[in-house]
Amino acid sequence: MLAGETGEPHPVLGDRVSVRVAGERLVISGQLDRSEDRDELVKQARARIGRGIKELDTSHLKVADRHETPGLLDQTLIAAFPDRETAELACKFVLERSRVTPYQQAIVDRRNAGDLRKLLLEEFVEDARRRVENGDALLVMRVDETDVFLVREILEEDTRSSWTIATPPSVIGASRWQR
Amino acid sequence: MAEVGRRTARKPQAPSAREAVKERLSPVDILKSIGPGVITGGADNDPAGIATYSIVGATAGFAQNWLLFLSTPLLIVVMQMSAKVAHVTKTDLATVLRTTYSARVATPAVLLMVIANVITMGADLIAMGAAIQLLTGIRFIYWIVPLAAAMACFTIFLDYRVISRYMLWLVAVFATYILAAFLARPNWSDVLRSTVVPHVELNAGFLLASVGMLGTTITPYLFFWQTSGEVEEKRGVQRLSRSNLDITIGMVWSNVTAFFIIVATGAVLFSHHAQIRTAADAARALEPFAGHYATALFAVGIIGAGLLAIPILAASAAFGVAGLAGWRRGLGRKARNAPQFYLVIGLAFLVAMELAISSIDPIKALFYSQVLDGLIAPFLIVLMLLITSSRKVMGDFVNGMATKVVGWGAAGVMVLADVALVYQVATNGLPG
Repeated sequence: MLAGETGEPHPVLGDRVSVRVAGERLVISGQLDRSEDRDELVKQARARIGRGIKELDTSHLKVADRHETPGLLDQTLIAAFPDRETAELACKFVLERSRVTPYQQAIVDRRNAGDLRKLLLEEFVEDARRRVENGDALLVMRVDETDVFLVREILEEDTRSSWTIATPPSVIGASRWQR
Repeated sequence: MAEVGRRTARKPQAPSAREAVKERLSPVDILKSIGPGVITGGADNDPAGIATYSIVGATAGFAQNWLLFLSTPLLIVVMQMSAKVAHVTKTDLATVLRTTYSARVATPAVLLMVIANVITMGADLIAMGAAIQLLTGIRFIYWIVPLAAAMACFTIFLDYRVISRYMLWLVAVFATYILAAFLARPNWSDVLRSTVVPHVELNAGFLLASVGMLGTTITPYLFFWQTSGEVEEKRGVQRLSRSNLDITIGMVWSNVTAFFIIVATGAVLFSHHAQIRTAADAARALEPFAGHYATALFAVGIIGAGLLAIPILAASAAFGVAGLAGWRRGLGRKARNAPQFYLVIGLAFLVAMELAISSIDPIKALFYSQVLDGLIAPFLIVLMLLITSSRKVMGDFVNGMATKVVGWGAAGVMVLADVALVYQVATNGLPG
């Protein structure tokens, strides 16, 4: 579980970390976004000591120097998939992979197209409706602005959504004024 | 009474996201802000750029300094717009073009950038080869394949972002142009006058130099590189002020260096009616400062500039193509985890190498690649302006009036120079 095969991308953290065994020393390096991720990884690695590994080297495992304040702004990501099942699978994958807790999430297809008005700002409703009318299922996720880079990257590059956009950042709670 | 009723019924104003992320930077914050913008500024003065500035200085003296002065705020604004696209949309320029407009708009924009990049890479490889020829005496053509192979390997297999921070110090060699310019004792009142008083000649030679200079300053690949760089650094809107400062420092440094390259070459070469036909000619501008070591100093600077810029040119092309196709991308990723992205980088190196080997005149190749950049740039600036002026895409971070004026000014100046050049070349042919 620690990293699958050594030299392969980590199953959750991708190639932000690399793991290799040098003699009896387990070397983990890379840069993580959260200190909790680092702590968890180090804990998992320590549990391996005594099972073919004598020492652990995490001196090159850093946590990115982030100054952004979570809880200030949010953004809504809209991603299109061919059907509801794929959108649901993508949603599950994004949540597992990013470990982000969205402020709001929904899947919209022809059955509940009317929900688009409740979920999106006016200027995005028409674009979204057109996708739904063409048979796509949309995954709509409102997340903290500081998590959007990661969630968008997973949506575009890993789940291969056919169309992904992010609404501009707005102050959390501001949407109730705008609607 | 009715007035009071109307007031109480008014809906509360939504708080502005731009106001929410405004920050006051301390001097320590300013120092800490220096990052990708300064690297971009360093890459802006690639070997082709240095050759172009040298040719402009040698052929026109200080006459086009005003264009560099004018292009500085234009460059800063265009690059800040590029960064802002990434801060707001959290993705790169090619993806934004594809999802905001369509693949029909994004594809030609990316293709034009890729073509210009590969030609510039070819020209830069020639320049690096010529620089090594100055040091070793072995003809430049023999250096092109090893140089391209070595750079392709370190771009693909090493973490380029870490390496580039060290490489930036090599580019600092060009700061010697500042000393060389002072030691060449130019007529400073002439330099000052030509910097602030515009001077235009309606002939193909002058216009070609103008388009080349604008193209090498406001270079299309930098727009793609800056957005991708911000995405890789994961700098969102909360870092907007720091990012703008970083870009301003980087672009000012880039253009200050360019200014002194022109002044040094103008003072040393133009005043003696000397032309630049080889790299050795261009190196002579450093003689007032470095004497017999001018050639070596120039060669080290060109090699450093190439090592910094060529991987950026290849990566920008790959970011563009991967953004269009929705492939995994990023220089922080390992090659096996983003194979298509790195394949494009490899192909860019391969084609550039082929171009470099088949090219005949290195100095002409360097100069005309920048003219091509100058012809492409306005098209991309207009697209960038349309994106960053769209409230739907940018929300509260939409361009203000000053940014719009400067941005459209940049596009206007470049279109004007391009149209005048095309007209002159069509009627009088290319200058010698």
